[in-house]
Amino acid sequence: MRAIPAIALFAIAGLLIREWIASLTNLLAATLAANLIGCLIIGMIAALADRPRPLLPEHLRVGLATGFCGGLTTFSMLSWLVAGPDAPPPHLAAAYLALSLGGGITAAALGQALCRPQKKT
Amino acid sequence: MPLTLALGAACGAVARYGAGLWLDRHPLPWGTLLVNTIGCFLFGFIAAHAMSEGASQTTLFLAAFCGTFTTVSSFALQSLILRRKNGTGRAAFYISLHLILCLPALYAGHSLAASYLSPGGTTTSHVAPANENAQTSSNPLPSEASAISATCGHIASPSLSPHAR
Repeated sequence: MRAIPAIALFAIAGLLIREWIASLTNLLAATLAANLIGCLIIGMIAALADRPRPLLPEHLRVGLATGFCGGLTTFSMLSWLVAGPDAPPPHLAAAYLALSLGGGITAAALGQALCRPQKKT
Repeated sequence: MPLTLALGAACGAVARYGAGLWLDRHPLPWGTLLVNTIGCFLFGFIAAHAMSEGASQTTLFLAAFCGTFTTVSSFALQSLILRRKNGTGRAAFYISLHLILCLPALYAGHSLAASYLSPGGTTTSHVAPANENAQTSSNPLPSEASAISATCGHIASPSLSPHAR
């Protein structure tokens, strides 16, 4: 239950940062950037949680992963951009979708690799 | 940030957490798939509604709710985990399900609102904009909430609608 306030607060923070990114660039770039950054961070959090001695308390980990990353990233806006009334031509929409989802999965893998504990030689 | 948006964002994330606890224990993370599908449908519906009728506090709440209810980060992490544990085929199946369900869900929500709102009851893919501002910018912003307010201009605040003008 301690995770719920953390999730709520971090989700608001995630939404605010998405707003801030939106103020810096255009719509497509902002959504892509927010989604990729969120995927990178959730990969890092997952790797940190996998350590024998996790660096983050459980409620903070859930708050960051579910709240912050979930608030920062958005599937509904991504879908709106590629399937809504103002969607670009199909080939561009498909490329944007592939970049967002493929890039997101790659970013999450990169985040995990960055924070994975290094093996002692 | 208006309280409505903060409340919507908080409720969306907590609702997704609840759905994840309930459904993500299965071999396939159905919880994330379900929330993304429902969130896309709901956003398509309220975006069309707001473009036609203007933004109310309820639509702003729902827009912020959709923004944090749906997620790409959990989708990406779960796809990675599925690939590692169950192989590439299962991960590809999970990704495909998202594409097959979420995009049509958004279109269905938008079309449903369009047919519901149009006087003759005929389905149109584009809802008539509510005002002049909407004609120049019917494209929502990355935050679904500011999208609605920027599109409709009724409740837009400068800090929430950087692309509106």
